[in-house]
Amino acid sequence: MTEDFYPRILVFCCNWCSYAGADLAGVSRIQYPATGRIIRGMCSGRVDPTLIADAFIYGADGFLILGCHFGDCHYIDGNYKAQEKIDMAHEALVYAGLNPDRLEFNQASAAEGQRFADLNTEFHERIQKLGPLGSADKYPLPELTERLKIAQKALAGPKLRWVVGKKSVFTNGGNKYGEVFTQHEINRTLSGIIIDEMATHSIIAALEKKPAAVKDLAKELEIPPPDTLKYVLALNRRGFVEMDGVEGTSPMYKYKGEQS
Amino acid sequence: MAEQKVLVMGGGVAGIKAALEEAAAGNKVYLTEHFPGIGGERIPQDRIITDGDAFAVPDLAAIKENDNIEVLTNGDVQALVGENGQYKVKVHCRTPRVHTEKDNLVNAIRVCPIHMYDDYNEGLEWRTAVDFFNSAWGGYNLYKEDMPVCQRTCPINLDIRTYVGQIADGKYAESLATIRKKLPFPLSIGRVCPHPCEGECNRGYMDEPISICFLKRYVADVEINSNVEPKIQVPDETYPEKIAIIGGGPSGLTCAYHLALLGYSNNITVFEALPEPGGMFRVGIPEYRLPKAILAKDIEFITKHGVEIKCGVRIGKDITFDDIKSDYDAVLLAIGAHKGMSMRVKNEEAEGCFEGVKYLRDAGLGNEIPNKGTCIVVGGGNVAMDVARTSLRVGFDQVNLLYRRTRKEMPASPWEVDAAEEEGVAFHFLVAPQEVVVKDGKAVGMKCLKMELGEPDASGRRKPVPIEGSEFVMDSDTVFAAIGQVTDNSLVDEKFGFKFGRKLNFEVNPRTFETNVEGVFASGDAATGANIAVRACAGGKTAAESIHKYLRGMK
Amino acid sequence: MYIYEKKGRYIIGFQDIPSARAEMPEISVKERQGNFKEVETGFPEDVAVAEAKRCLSCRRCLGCALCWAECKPEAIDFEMPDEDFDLTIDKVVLTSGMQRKIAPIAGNYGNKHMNVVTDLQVERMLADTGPSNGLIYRPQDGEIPKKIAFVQTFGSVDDKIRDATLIFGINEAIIAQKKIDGAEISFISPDMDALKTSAAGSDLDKVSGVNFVNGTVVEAAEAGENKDIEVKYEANGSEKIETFDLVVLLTQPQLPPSIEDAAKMVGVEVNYASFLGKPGELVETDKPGAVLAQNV
Ligand SMILES: Cc1cc2nc3c(=O)[nH]c(=O)nc-3n(C[C@H](O)[C@H](O)[C@H](O)COP(=O)(O)OP(=O)(O)OC[C@H]3O[C@@H](n4cnc5c(N)ncnc54)[C@H](O)[C@@H]3O)c2cc1C
Ligand code: SF4
Ligand code: SF4
Ligand code: FES
Repeated sequence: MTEDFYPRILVFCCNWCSYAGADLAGVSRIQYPATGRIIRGMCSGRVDPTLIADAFIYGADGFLILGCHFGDCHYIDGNYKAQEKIDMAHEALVYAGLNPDRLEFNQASAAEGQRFADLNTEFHERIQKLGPLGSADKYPLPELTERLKIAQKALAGPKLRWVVGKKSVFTNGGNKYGEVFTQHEINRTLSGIIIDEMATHSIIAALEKKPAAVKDLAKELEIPPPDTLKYVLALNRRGFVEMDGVEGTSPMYKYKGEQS
Repeated sequence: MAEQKVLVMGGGVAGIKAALEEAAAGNKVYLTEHFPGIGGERIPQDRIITDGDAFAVPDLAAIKENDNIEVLTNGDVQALVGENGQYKVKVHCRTPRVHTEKDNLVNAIRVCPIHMYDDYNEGLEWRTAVDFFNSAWGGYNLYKEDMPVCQRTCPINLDIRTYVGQIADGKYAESLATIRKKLPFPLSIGRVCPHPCEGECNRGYMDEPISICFLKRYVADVEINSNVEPKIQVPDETYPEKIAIIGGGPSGLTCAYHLALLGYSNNITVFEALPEPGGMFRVGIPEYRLPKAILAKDIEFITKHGVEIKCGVRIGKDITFDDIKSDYDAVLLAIGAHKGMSMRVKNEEAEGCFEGVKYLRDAGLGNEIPNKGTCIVVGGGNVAMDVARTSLRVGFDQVNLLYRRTRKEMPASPWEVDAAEEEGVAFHFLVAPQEVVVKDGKAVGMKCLKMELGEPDASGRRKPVPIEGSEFVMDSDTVFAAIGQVTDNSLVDEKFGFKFGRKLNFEVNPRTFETNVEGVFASGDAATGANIAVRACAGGKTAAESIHKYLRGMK
Repeated sequence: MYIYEKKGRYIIGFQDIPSARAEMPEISVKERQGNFKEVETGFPEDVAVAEAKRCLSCRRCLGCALCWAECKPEAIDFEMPDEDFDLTIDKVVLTSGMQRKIAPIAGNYGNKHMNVVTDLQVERMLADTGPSNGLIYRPQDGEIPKKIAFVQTFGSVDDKIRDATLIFGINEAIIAQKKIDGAEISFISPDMDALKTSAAGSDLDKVSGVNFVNGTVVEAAEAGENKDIEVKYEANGSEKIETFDLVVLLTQPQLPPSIEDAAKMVGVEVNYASFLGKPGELVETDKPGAVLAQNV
């Protein structure tokens, strides 16, 4: 990438460790690139997945989230929760087309001014190499943003929010029936829900614009036609979508809205 | 007529109609249905339809209104005894886990993150894990399976989803512990199991099934390769009763292992007729598929649980069954099926003719065996493959395998057949042996008849029929018969009155593995007829649980 | 049993799992000669882990309680127990259920072709409580098919069952023909001539718009971008190839194990044909108190 690309980077710091680390780096006059704009919050556990999506929807080229080291979180397990949520957001955004290197979760303590500076430098260099949002990603800009918005809807929905919150419960204590999940299974389950939710929300978004036939939806959204059909039928069954006449050989479906 | 009570099985159109008719006649009706809902319009199959009668629609409203009809959805009839209009019925209804009267559940189906196969619509659409069965009846239900399909298909119900997931997580020791909760033979079963579970694995519908069996072998191998001593955990307090297990094969040893876990450690004695324990694992399955040293590790793990194995003691000869029965509080017969079945051809007693299983046993124990010239193996099962592949290894120049039908009908596992072929076994399909050709009292060949496949019968299988005048003789120095095994049940006296099945196996209660003689149980090949090893293990596990219940006076 | 669980089974195409099944490494045939060395050598670690990651971790309800949180209090009850009923009964009525066996066609083993469906699936499509408001559609892309073939793939069966199965399919063809403008429907069965001459087939000549073929289907292959189905069949001594939008397999009815078991427990001998013959009636058996509800 050209040298004159000046990336827009967001850096989230939690109040108790990484922000103090930033402070120390400043007080100690350690040099690091000034591309990162620091946002201070109470704890990395407060970074909501939809906010991560927002960062990129509003054009950030990179998002670095810094919390306390594991075990040192002021709220005990805030950064473990953060890890789970950020992992999920990462997966959904990457599925939508974002370059995986644009989002990172890392840790720095209040005493690690140097580490804070190093992490920022590395992240800056990485983003500088990638170039602006839309250039090293699966889709170019206006399209990528559209897809990220779908991902945001999926992340805002109850399914992902709820299940990601159950991650450690399921792998330690067990679910409602007392069955303990393997890490593999809970990851599979979350990936499955992400894929489902992305497909469902993109179908809803398309049908909100105008009624469509399954085969055209499939082509437009790049979802295999048999799967598209099943998603549409599932929406129909749950009362979100209904059939709206037949054109030629194609049954047309339209969005009904939230009412039941 | 006084009011009768009527059970209608099946909530389809015919069942609903019958229920309404019976109720109209003043009877009390119970309508059972396996699925969570009843109904479903049907297209008639008795007449060609005309306008207006396209579907037979069940009258669900009438069923809902009728107080004399009780609908038992999610229900399975478990027992139905009696006759001549007096029946006692046990119906088990799985819980729906929902109260539809408290909410219409619309939100539930909108948020549930799980998509699954919709039985009602033949898989044409998805339903969520909490959903209605069909829109006309409702029938809301929370779909919770008792176990995934792979686990249900596994005879011993191994928790495959968990142990495979643990391997994916890199937790090998935990994975092995999950397996050993049920199966003490991970090294052996992981090598030889024909893995029925993989045939049902859902991944197979997408591309190919998960390699469930070899993954089990992998975690078991990790333990021996890293020289970790497996942890042995048995209850500190043990029960005083003594248990005799006759037969040290997979079934007997699995039973012993589970009895030890249940609290009979150090009170379990396994009697094994042969000089080495392991049953068919040791003397049937050849070394190149299951090395003896590997098997020994599994057996060592079991004996460390306080299980004593007395080898070289044949019950019925060295000790009588009577003595065992009076000296021990409970007895398990796990003697397998070791007697080869007869080919029912002329001269099969001639010198140079052998039972395949006996040949493998001698090979496994290091006894002298024939190994020169040409041999014929008769049979198409896994035992025949083992005999053929072993024969090639011990030195026969030419191994000819004869099978009555075609390759497609062979009961042997396809990978075994492929391996045998690769190694050089010559297959002769559609050939039926007629008579052993004898010269100077010794077998020199086999007279055979060529067959062809006839018309398919009702089950769709095409039966081989002989081609007339197609006899020919195949030269051979040795003939092996590998066409099935039966149980040698001569160790028990007639006076006990044991009942035997078609394969001379002990007849048992299929749920408890109890024989008709009190305190005597039977499992494995001795109860099921020759079968697969993991089913023998499963039988041993169930028998252990039944013995425990029997000894503790629980019914 | 339910072979079509496959096609409808909800399996997500995860992106990060290797799709090919791991192969067990073996020593060569040469190395095996004259010795008893173990043939299979076991997976290396990376292969084992990759293989394990292919597992879909099949589970229906997760037990996540999201539904419970979204519904009115106590509408979902995870602790609700199973129920057992002990009943005393004077009479038991058995029905045939709807279980069917599928005989696959060459070219479609494993039933992978989306546009090959069963007669039961078509019944659901045509029904009002089905997934599609009574429309018949192609599972591949949801389009309404114009050219449809009904084909019989199973071999010979009991005459009564044969007639019932064929008439079931013919009725579906008649309904489909009425619902779809300009539909071209073929009905290919090796037993067509036999049906025509039997009593059950006496109304056949009143059916219009369905092309009945006495023939045998040899193969079904997917063709073209739309995944239409190319059917190869033999009729009148010659082989024909024709392309259809949708192919419907006629399936062979069977009794579900629950009914077979119940019949055994009562002591009556039944097969599917015992439920045919007197449509809609209750037929006594030789055991008093055991009755068969005939199919409609
Ligand atoms: C050649 C061959 C290959 C096979 N390959 C496979 C395979 O690849 N995969 C698979 O799953 N299954 C295979 N099987 C089947 C499997 O080995 C058996 O199902 C299983 O071993 C049965 O276990 P069991 O404990 O019931 O009986 P067995 O394993 O037969 O054990 C019974 C034991 O009882 C002993 N015994 C018998 N009578 C007496 C007595 N009177 N007193 C004391 N002891 C006695 C016997 O010596 C024997 O050790 C194979 C079987 C054979 C014969
Ligand atoms: S993918 Fe196969 S092995 Fe894994 S849980 Fe499903 S059925 Fe079992
Ligand atoms: S049905 Fe099961 S998986 Fe679905 S929301 Fe309820 S608890 Fe979760
Ligand atoms: S307070 Fe720093 S991560 Fe929670």
